[in-house]
Amino acid sequence: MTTLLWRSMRREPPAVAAYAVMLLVVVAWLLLSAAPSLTTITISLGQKLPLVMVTIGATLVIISRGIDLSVGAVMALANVLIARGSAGGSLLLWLALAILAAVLVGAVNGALVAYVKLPPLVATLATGSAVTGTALYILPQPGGSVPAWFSLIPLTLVGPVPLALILMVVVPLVLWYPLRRSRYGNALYAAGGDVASAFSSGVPVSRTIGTAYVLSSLFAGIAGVFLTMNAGAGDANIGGPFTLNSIAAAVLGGALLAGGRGTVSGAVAGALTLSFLTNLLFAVGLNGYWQYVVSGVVLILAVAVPNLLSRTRRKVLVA
Amino acid sequence: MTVSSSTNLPDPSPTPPDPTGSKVRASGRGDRGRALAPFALLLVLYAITVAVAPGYLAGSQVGSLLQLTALLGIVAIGQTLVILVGGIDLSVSAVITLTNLLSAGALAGSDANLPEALAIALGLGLLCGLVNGIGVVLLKVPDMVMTLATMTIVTGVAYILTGGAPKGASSPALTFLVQHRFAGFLTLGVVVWALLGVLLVLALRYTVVGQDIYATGLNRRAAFASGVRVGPMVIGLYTVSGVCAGAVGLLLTGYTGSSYFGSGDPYQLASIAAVVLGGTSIYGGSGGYVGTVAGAAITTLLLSLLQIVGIPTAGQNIAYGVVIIAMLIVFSRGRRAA
Repeated sequence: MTTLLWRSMRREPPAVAAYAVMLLVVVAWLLLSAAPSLTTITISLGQKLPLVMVTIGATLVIISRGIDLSVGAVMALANVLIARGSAGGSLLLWLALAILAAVLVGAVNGALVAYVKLPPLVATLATGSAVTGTALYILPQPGGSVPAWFSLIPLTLVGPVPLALILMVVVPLVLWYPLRRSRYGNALYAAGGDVASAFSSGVPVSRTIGTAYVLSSLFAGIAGVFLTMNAGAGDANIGGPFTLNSIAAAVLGGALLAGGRGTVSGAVAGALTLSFLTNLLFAVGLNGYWQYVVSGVVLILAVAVPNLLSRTRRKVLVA
Repeated sequence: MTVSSSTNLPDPSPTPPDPTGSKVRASGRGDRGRALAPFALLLVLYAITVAVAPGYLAGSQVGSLLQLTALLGIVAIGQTLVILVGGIDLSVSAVITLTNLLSAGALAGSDANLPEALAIALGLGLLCGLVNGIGVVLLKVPDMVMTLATMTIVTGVAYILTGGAPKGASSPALTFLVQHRFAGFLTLGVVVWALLGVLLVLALRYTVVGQDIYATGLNRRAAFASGVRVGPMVIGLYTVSGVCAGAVGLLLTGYTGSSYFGSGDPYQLASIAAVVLGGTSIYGGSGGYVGTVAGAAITTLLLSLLQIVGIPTAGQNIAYGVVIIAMLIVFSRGRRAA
């Protein structure tokens, strides 16, 4: 077990670094919080589930050397569908519809990027706009509601352990095998790393990249479900900050914007780091507006620092 | 992008990753038919608008449309330049909101504060653009990610500086300049836009910098190797984009009379739409500002038409998305056939 752990740590240094940074931030938060208890930790972990889920999806697209700017809109679409629908109908039916809608958007994104070959940035920005419009049609003003038991799911304790924490550990473990050992996982890393050689060695590049967008939207839909549990109501603009935060968290978690590298466990660590940083801001007495500044600066640093480091390393090698 | 490790040539600024690797570009400025297409589309759209609402033939209505188009057109100056070199500026919306809020706050309804408001709007725009350029060129952050990050930071700064409550108002002189119709339909914004637009078209066509911009957009590495100072130029273009957005923030203060959060939001996608509809390649290197003028007019007219027909914001968002994707598909098809 320890050798396995050690081996995977050596293979994924960025993910290990991400967990180290996350631990630092969490410890700082615990030290600065007035009285950390199981309840506050459970609540705070529950609030982080949406970002964790959407970051997993963003990471898959970034591995494929793409970007998905529609995830915030997809989360909002899932949110308004559930909040509007469950007020007068079956919650489960609307949950299913929300996930279906998310997958549909992902299929459109995937088709546009992988088959029509549009630049992912503009294509997903445009579909994001259309999805936001659709969400506004469904729920022009914030409102709607969900059953109380539904809102309490993220706060569930399984024995002494918060359900949110279990999800954050189990989801990466469950996804590890298909991503690292299955044909699709290998194809994804290959297509993101070097399209030409992936193509010439028989990887179905278009299908692989297209599927990454479907998965990204699927996870955005799941994130939207958790977001609805937390918010307890619907709002067509609720997803806004998640687009940037998912990219920032993915990069923090070791995903490379140039493609071909990234892990689900890293994504979880990146998302937790970014959102515990927000908690830290509140703990030191800054107001919520600062989280915009921090997210942006963190994203720039997370991309720029490795860039600059690798450049100096290359210089050293050349000299 | 993997070539760089084997050569000593410093990559001045990496182009955004292309997931498919099938990048085919039209050479030069495109053929005449494609250059005329946006204007033909504009005429058709205008004919439809007039058919639905005959009032749009009147000079005053044309003046209103021009006024709105000018605001978008000025933002699109920066967006065109940045897209021509293969970049993109997602932060224009946030910069417009910030300068709108702070210029209204600085003016506080008094003409005496106009120089200060002008300095704040243009200065902040310049600063934001400079940060974008430095991040893209020196820190090597991909254009889209860098401008997305500044967008978020600038939004946060706007909230922090105003405490979340917009205050202040336009001054009489600014309102007069922005809203008064000279010769029946010309407003200050239109005049400023026309001047800047003519200058830009001439500069792109007849100056060395203009040539360098197209060369950089077509092949950044080759442009750098043949002596184009790519880095400083890209920083300069992002700065221009920031200043344009700052100017629009100030004009928006005069146009709306005050300021509010999210006032710049529509301009992010709209400015990209104007550039793409105008026939400029999203990969850079081909197109120009003449097309963007038509693109800005199409975008504005399309929104007006949707409002006339009674389609709310929701429908406008959907229309934006669908139209941009449709145009991208049409243009990328044409490019591949060429």
